[in-house]
Parts: sequence; C-alpha cells; structure tokens
Amino acid sequence: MIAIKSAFKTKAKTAAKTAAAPRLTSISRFNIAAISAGLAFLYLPIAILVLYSFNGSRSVAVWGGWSLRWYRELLHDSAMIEAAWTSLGLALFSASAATILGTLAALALTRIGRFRGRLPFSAMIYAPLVLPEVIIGLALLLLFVAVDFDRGFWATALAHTTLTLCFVAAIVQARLVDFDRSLEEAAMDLGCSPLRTFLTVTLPLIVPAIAAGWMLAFTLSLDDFVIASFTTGPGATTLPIRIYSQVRLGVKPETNAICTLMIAVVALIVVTASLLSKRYAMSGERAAALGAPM
Amino acid sequence: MAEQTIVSSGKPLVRFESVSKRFGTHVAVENFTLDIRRNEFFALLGPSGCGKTTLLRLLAGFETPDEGRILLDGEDIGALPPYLRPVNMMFQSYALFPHLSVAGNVAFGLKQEALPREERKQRVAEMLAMMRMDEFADRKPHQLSGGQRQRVALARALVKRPKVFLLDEPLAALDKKLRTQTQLELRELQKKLGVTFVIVTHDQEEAMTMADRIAVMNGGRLAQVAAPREIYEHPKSRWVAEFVGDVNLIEGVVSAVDAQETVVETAAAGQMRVPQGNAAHRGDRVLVAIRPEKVAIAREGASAHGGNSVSGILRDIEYFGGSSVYKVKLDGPGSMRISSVNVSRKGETVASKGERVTLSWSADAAAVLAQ
Ligand SMILES: Nc1ncnc2c1ncn2[C@@H]1O[C@H](COP(=O)(O)OP(=O)(O)OP(=O)(O)O)[C@@H](O)[C@H]1O
Ligand SMILES: [Mg+2]
Repeated sequence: MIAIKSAFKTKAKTAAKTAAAPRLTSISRFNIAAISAGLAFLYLPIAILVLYSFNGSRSVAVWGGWSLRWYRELLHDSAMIEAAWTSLGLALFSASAATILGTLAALALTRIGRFRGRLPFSAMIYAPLVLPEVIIGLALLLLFVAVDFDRGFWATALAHTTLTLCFVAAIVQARLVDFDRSLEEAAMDLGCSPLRTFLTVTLPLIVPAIAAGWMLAFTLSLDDFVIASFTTGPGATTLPIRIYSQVRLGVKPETNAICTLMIAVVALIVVTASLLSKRYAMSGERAAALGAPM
Repeated sequence: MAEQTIVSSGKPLVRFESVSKRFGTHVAVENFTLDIRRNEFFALLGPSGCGKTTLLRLLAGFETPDEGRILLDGEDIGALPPYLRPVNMMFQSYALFPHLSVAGNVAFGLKQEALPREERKQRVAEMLAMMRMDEFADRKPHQLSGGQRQRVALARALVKRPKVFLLDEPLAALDKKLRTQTQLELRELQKKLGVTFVIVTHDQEEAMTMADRIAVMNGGRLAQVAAPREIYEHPKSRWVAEFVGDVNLIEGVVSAVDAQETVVETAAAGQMRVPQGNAAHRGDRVLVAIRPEKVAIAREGASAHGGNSVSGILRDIEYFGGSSVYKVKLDGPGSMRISSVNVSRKGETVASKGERVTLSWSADAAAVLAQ
C-alpha cells in the first residue's frame, strides 16, 4: 500500500511540474481513491471478521444485530482458553529468551570487532529471516526427533526462540551500529568498569530497541502457525492451531471472537513497538546532533 | 581543591619514556619522550594526523603503548585500565550522556567512587556553580547550547579532581568569539584548581595563548618542547619555524662564527649577522629565519635601522585590518614577507606596489636553522 501511495506521489509531483493546478487536485483525488482501495484490500476481510464477532445470530452469513454473545460463550470454551494460555506462555518465554540471545548476538556482532568467523556468524544469525518457515519447522522437527526431544510446549518454545532471535538481533544491532562509542569511553574514563559501563550507559540507551525487539518476537510467536504445527504435540495446542482445527469443522462465530481478541492484542503491541522505535530514532537524531560540531 | 602552587620543576607528573604506538603498519607515535610538570598547562600542537589524540588516549588508558613506559607520579600506569587511572578526559564530541540530566552527568563520575551522598551532592553543586550551569541542572544535554554543553563536559571531568585533565580539541566546535573567551576561562580555571591540564590542539594561536609549555609534534615524533615564546622566537628546526607562525627563510653558508655572532653569506641578502643560537660551524649550509613582523619596511632612500638591510621591489600588499603583509621581491634571488601594523586609519601604505623598498632588521631578529 505504501509503495502504491508513493508511486502515485511521484507521479503527482512530475505532473505538477507540467500541468495546471486543477489536474493536480484530480490526481490527488485519484490518489485518495487508490489509498482507499488498497486499505480495503488489506483490511476488509479483517473488518468483516471483527464485525461478525459481534453478530447476534448463530449463522455466519446472516446479521442478527449487535451482541457480545460469542465473547461470553468463549469464556466457557475451556479448550480455547487453554490454547490461549499455551500461546501466551510460549510467546512470553520465547520472546524473552530470544531477546536475551538476540541482544547478546547483536553485541557480539557490533562490539567484538572483526573476530574470526564474524561474517558466517552474522549470515547464520539472519538466515531465519529469509528461510521459509516450512523449512525451519521441518528442520526443527527432524532435530527434535533425532535427539529424542518430546514435541510439545518446550519444543515449540525453543523453535519460536530460534525463529524470533534474528529479528531481535537485527533491531538491536541497528541501534548499536549508530551508537556513539565515545559515550562508553567517557563512562570508563569516569570510573566505570566495562560491566558497569554496559549497565549504566549502553543498556539504558539501547533499551527501547530491546523492548521493540521483545514485542516483535512476542507477536511473531503468538501468530505462528506453521512452525508450531511441526513442533507441538498433544497437550500443547497453540491458539492458531486450535482455531484452525476448529474452522475445519465449520466456521463458528465464536472463532471470530477469539480472532478479534488476538488482532487487538497484536495491534496494541505493534503500535507500542513502533512508537518505541520512533522515540529511539528521535533520540538517536538528538545524539547525532549533539556529536556534530556546530 | 588543591592549593595553587607554582609550577614545580622537580619530579615530573607525567613522563613518556620512548613510547611507540602502531596501528597495523602505521606508526602513530614513535619513540616519544616527554615530561609534563605538575600544575602545568601543557599543549600538544601539531598538524592533523600527527598522533596528538593517540598520545592523549595512551595517557587516558584507551590505547596501550607497543613500546616504552608511561609514568604518572613516578609509577608505571601502563597496565592500569582507564577506569582506575586518576586521569580524566574531555572528549572532542563532549560525549555527554543523553539519558542523564546535566546534574546527572556531573554526578556520574562521583557515583563510581564510594563517596557519602551528601559530599557528592555538594561537590556537584559546587562544580555546577563554578561553571555557571546551576540553573540548567535539570536539563538534558540536547536542551543546551554548544557552549553550555562544553561547560557540562568540563564540569563532569573536573568534579573527579583528576591529577591530570586531558582535553582533546575542546574548543573546535565553538565559534571564534566564544573560543577566545573560553581560552581565557580555561586558563583561569586551571590556575584556580591547580590541576595539570594537557590540551590537544592544531591551532597554534590557541596553544600560544593558553599553554605554559607546548610540545610541537610532527608525524608521531616530538619536534620541540618549550615555552610559547621560546618556540616562536627560537625554533629548533625549519619545520617548527614554518609550522608555528609565518617565517622568511634565506639560504646561506656560514662564513664566520664567534662567541656572539654567526655570519652567514647569502645570495639573497648578502652578508647577514645572526646572534649565536643553534650551533653552526664555518662552511655549514644553513637557513636564516626571520619572522615577518621583525622586519621594517621603508621606501628606498629612507634611513634604515638595525644591523641588516636588503632592497627589493614591492610586489603585493595583503590587508588584514589590524596589519598588512607586504610581499617584496628581493634584488637577489627569492622574496620576503613583511608584516606591519596599520597605525593610521587613512589608506596610506609605506610604499605602493612596484616601488623600490628597503627592508631592515636588527641583528638579533634572525635565527640560524640547519637546512
Ligand atoms: N584506531 C586506529 N586505527 C588505525 N589507525 C589509527 C587509529 N587511531 C589513529 N590512527 C592513525 O594514527 C594517526 C594519528 O592519529 P591521531 O588521531 O592521533 O591524530 P591527531 O593528531 O589527533 O589528528 P587530528 O588533529 O586530525 O585529530 C593517524 O594517521 C590515524 O589515521
Ligand atoms: Mg585528534
């Protein structure tokens, strides 16, 4: 959508140079139409899902007035609630583990300088970013079978950590790369050991990036269907898997309700994360302005 | 703070002993030996890339020497990490912590020492007051002007009461007026606190106005270390003479040497008499160095003063407001630059372009340098 928008923007700009004002407005009207179409394309299915979660009727296709009936019903669906708890637990664990490991990886990549094997290391860290999930899932499945590790909650937690670690590493590394090293030297000069320097200067300055990374990892784990379907076992059904198996028996309005809740949680986290990273980008600009001679 | 004491010429506070530092194959500092005295305002002066920052970082502990030793108060500090050295540095970028307030920045170093809370607070307040930053105590660094940030950076390092305070081009980011003012303030601060300051600069005027002694560096080596006047009036080498200020160099051969004077035969200006300074022997090929402001210029025929004189044609006049520089093509080979204070407000000059002029200088205005 953004690509479409900017494409029209450039067109509008070139048109503005040659044509008179009325044409410009007609183009921007077209622009608005294009944006609406793009938005509708992306969000109409979701909007319908959300709308029908408030449907009073049992039939999916017939509107029966506003109601919270399916949300109430959801409270009594113990299997669904259990799946929700499983997913939440998975997301919490794997996001935290991935944040710790990903931050350490980012630190190693930016701070240790040119150690032996740095290039393969960074390539390997970022491989899961581009590998198809099916392949990661299958590979992990083979690994767990080979080492005789029971499939279930912990196997999926490890799998999600593997998947999300690289996202955290990428976000934190971006922050560390434009970090002013003289801040750390100043801290050491003022009497901080390397560990204290990290805790009192480096960490507070990269914490927004770490938080954004954690949140991204959390939503990725919450959303994941493909990898979990390889690694999970009986007793550890995640929410997406539960929803999928339910839908196979026929779409129930209750499913719409749980999906709406998931959308709400993910949207909240994504918005928070983008606000955080925006704030960090601003403080980064300020830091750059501080360093630059006037 | 320590009582103000006179610069002692006894045991040096800092001693570099044949220190060398290489980055890969590049030699940044080479066989460097230097003493810095207690309570001294010391300047490291040199062109870009000559190793000034490297020398400072060696002293602060961010680099370790490949060869040689660095002594502080007679102790080898080579193995001491930066956070254990009683030395503090003010970074060229200031490196203020953006997540801390002004007061937080100044208190940062003291928090690393086991100090009672009260004393810490008091020292921070004192230091902020001294830097006239008390009213900005709660601001974040990005809410300050360049000059204010610089004072916070000063306060943050000085509140630690270091034995040696290192400043890496502290004034480079300030405009000319603020720079001149800050030079004086730094100098006063140093006298008041009685801390040894080591300042890095590539601006020779800055070094001259502030420092008690200057070390001139060239390509990682020490070219000369002396008081500003000594460096300017008695440069030890052609390189120093040319780097510090403007100079006329006239080639010649020593024809006679006695206890007071060296006589040099030059093609450009005939026989020149130069007071005894750098050792020269009969027959040596040497350079006679004369600073442009030590030469008097007058229309030919006007009475010349001093022991040496030479004539030529005035080729060009550069006007600098307070003074003008005259370029004179000598009758012999070569030319000279003469600077003269513009006493009169009217546009009259000593001579006009193309006119014949006589240049003269007293015998002790020149110095002999090895070629
Ligand atoms: N970490 C480093 N790695 C490799 N070379 C370095 C490093 N630090 C400095 N150098 C080199 O050592 C030489 C001296 O550098 P230094 O920073 O001490 O110069 P400087 O005198 O401070 O110059 P300037 O006035 O430009 O700041 C330079 O040629 C520089 O390229
Ligand atoms: Mg430097």
